[in-house]
Amino acid sequence: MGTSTVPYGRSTQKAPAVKEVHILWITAGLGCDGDSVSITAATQPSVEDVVLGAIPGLPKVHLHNPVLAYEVGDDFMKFFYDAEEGRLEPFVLVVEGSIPNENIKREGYWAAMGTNPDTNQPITTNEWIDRLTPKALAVIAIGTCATYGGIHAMEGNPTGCMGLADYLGWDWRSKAGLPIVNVPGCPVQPDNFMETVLYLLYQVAGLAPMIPLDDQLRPTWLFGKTVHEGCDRAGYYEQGDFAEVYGSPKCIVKLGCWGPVVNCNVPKRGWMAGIGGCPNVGGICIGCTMPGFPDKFMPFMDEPPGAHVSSAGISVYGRAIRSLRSITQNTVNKEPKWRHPRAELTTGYHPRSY
Amino acid sequence: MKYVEFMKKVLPLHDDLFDFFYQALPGYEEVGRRRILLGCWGSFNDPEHCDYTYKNMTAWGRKMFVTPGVVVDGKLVTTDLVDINLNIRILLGSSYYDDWKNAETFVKADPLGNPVDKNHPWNQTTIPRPQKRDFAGKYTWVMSPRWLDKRTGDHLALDTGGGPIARLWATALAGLVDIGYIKSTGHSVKIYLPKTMSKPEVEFEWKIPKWSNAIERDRARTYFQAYAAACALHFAEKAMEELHAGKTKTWSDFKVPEEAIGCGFHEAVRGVLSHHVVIRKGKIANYHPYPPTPWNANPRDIYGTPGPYEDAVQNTPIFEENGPDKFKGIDIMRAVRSFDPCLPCGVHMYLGGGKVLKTQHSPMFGVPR
Ligand code: SF4
Ligand code: SF4
Repeated sequence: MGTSTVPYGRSTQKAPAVKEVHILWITAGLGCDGDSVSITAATQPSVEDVVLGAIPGLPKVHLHNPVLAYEVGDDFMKFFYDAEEGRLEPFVLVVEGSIPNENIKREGYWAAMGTNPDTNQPITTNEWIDRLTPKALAVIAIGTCATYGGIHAMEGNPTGCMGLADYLGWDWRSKAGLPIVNVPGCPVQPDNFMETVLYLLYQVAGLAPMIPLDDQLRPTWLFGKTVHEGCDRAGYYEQGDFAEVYGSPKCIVKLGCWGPVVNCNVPKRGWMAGIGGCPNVGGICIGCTMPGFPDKFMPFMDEPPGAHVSSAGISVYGRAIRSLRSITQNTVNKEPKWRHPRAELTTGYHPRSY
Repeated sequence: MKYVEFMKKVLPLHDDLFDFFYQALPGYEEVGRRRILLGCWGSFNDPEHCDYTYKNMTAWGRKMFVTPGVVVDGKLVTTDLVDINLNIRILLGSSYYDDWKNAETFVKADPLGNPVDKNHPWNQTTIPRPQKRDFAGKYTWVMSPRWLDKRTGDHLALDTGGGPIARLWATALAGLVDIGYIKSTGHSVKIYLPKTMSKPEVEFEWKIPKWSNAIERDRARTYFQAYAAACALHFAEKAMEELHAGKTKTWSDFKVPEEAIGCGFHEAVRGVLSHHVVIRKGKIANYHPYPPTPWNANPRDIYGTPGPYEDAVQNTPIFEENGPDKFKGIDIMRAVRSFDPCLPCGVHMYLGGGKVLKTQHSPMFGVPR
């Protein structure tokens, strides 16, 4: 055999439009790093698949995530400074954690990464977002904190924090014309995130059209269905057969499951390698992927509105229920109005009242 | 059982590796070493004894399959969860908060009538005060949890040592656990793993080490994995008994009380985890969780006592052979990560342009203190 023989099938392989892409990941929002930890469990694809080039057609990917990086200190921060100065092109920015409102106080910082050599003070997360978003090819918000504000952005919080789109504006576009891509979840379902990254890398490589997003900027193929539509207890629901206590295989809507109005694929997809999936394994859905989370779903252990109508009897099924549902679904798909970047705190925070 | 088999392979391997460190780098025991100040809040409740009441907490706490305890200079000071609870103090000193001297005192006495301090988590009020970072003043959002040693009046900066070392140390000294698979001897913990697919039965013994340092924290991790695997076998057997007896209920009904206080003590993977709650009118009026991170990663308190990371890292010898230009701080990283594998993210070395820190590589550090 000649050594220079090119295999016939090589013609099937497409070279990516860009050779290399950096993924710059900031975990310094208000959060717990839980999304970074979560994605280490991804298998479809795994982080390793993407970074080590296991998937044909992808550009070479350099991942810079503080939880996963080998580099520390200046060696790690270098990539962020390079990106800011336009020396790290192209890059995708991933933001993890809720974005605090740094304008409501006189000094100090709510959240930060790195130290400003001129002032010796921390560089706020917001400043990094301001520096890097204009240069990024695409911006992904990972987890419910970064997407919509999440737990830190509850009523009464002191930091006035919000989701990335509240901070940058919902009609923000990257220099390549992409909107913010939101992948919510508390934490994010690992494969949901990695699949979104994969899609965007294909798009960057010129192998996929514009990523389809809904009006909450979520990938439609991941968040287009409700928990209820994917739940393996839905048969009980349909028969009006409801659990009154935990530990039962029946539908748990009366125990507080919000599945019917929540956009999330976890019951179908499971958590790790297909195992788990909140209501499937007996845990009520508390709507952790939703813009209205957590305020609009509390108190968690009470029966949600709308559940009552449908659990009253199966004869009223159909269009009537579905329209009632969509009223609730619209509500829980809206963020509370105190999440904004204005220089005022409107969360109802009372420092000494609790 | 696959995991049990895996432990049989991996534990001796890790043991070798850690011993090799001591041989190859004399003096390495000083890396991340600090005074033995360990806290463990207990883990794996025994359902035969645990009724989750405060009144009986001392008794059922001692029935846990990982014994709660505070270890000071190698001595077991207490195994009493009530004692552990009452002596927790949350101090300020270098944190961006106002004190809560003038805020409400939620809990004056515990359900047994013992007085509860103003700096106890039940009475904490969090008043954030963002301000400039000043390493000689206020420099972090983390508060300083301490444990008051009544014998000396010291506010001890206990660490969790990453969890396992504190769990094993407290359990070993207490001598309370004996389930066959696990036996606490008063100076060690014996761990029995039965025959598996390709490995015969084996008994490991974790012996109390000489130091609370980076290597021993890491070594304890691998032993605690075996410990947990052995406990799991015991629990699986108990669960089978329950199943065969037709007892399959997994949940009991509860009602949120109108007025109540509550607390919970457990071990997260990385160490102590407590919760303190005050309920009024059926709602949470005050709530403070203390997971391992604030115990390990806290700053200097009002008395000037540094938190465990600072304490373990200051004056730590540097064995790294990269010169100042390529200095990575691997020994410092190793010290901090020995407390908390979740923290690689948080540990970022700033060398101040390579001027502030000097590489100190010298055989001198092989000389024991
Ligand atoms: S458990 Fe929840 S998601 Fe499942 S069928 Fe019932 S209401 Fe729907
Ligand atoms: S099923 Fe509900 S609680 Fe579970 S991940 Fe989805 S939205 Fe969150």
